[in-house]
Amino acid sequence: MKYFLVRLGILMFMTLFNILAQAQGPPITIDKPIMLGAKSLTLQSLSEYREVGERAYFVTPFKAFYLPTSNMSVGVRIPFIMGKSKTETLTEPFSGLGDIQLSYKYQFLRKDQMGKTFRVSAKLMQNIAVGETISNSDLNFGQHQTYLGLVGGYETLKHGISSELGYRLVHRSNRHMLHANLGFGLPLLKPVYPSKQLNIMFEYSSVYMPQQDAFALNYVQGVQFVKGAFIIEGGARLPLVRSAVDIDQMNFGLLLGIRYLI
Amino acid sequence: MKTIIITMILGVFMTTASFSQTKSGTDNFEVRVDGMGCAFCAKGLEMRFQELKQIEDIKIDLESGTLTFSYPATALLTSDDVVKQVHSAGYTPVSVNVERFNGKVELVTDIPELE
Repeated sequence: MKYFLVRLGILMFMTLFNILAQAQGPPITIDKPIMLGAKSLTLQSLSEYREVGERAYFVTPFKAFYLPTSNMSVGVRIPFIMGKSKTETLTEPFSGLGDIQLSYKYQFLRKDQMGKTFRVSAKLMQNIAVGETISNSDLNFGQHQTYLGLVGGYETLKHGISSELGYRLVHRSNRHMLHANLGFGLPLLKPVYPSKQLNIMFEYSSVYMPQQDAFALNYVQGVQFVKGAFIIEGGARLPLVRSAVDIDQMNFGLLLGIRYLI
Repeated sequence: MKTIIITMILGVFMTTASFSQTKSGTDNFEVRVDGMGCAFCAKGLEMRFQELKQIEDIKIDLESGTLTFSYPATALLTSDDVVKQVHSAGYTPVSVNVERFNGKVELVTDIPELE
């Protein structure tokens, strides 16, 4: 209980700190509505070492996002997963392809002012279950999933917020999920162009399963270096709240990735 | 000695004439753009303008939201072309100021919003 209160206190402090601080930069683990120009292609990989219950996983996804127009994005995420047991009692190590994710985003609201922008996008995502099922985790769910959501963002040279709210329908299952994400960033260098930025990222992602009345809240503490068209980023994912045993049993995760704008 | 001096004067004159012709052969553009909230976002804007093959000296000032560049006068790049590129990058053009090589200045501020 004491440990929980300490973590909650840290979460509240960081939230308050971010509202007051200057913040901006693309989030690491959650989505953003801002698109980077028609006919642009972003290649990204964000590898993660994650411990879930008694098993450890290493996930390396390949992600590509293409913008046919300035307000529309189509993307694909193909992960490769390696898993192993931390104890003798569990199954043998495995490796293989994870669930493939196809995404479509349409930006329908854009309000620009000098050095600031507010945007909202609708998001449709389809998960195709091709990998081995990993129970109580969002790594490989074992069923096809369809996700509908709204992604919002307010970004200025001094403050930046990214948020997302969406519902995930899990086919042939009652384990549907409501997702709510919130992310902030703190630039350590003055924003200049050509870009050379060092940002600290604070990201919260939550999931609620209505049928099971289960809730989980995770936090990612990240750091990001931006140079020209490259971004190198990393972080640690920590569970803050878990209300039931049948929801995301992640112990912790370590992230390292790169993205490149073409 | 006289020949050397004449040759030097001629050389300096030709160099100066050549330099001024290069400078005067370009139009200078200054574009006010709204919506650039971060440096990585501005990269998308620069990349759209790099599609204009003969573009030179692209500079972006994030705090004033200003994009400046030069373009060969002979290519006749118009304000409409510039507005189209800004829209394509997903940003809002506010004004386009062009200093043509012949000294003429064009200022476009009444830019309609993208439908």
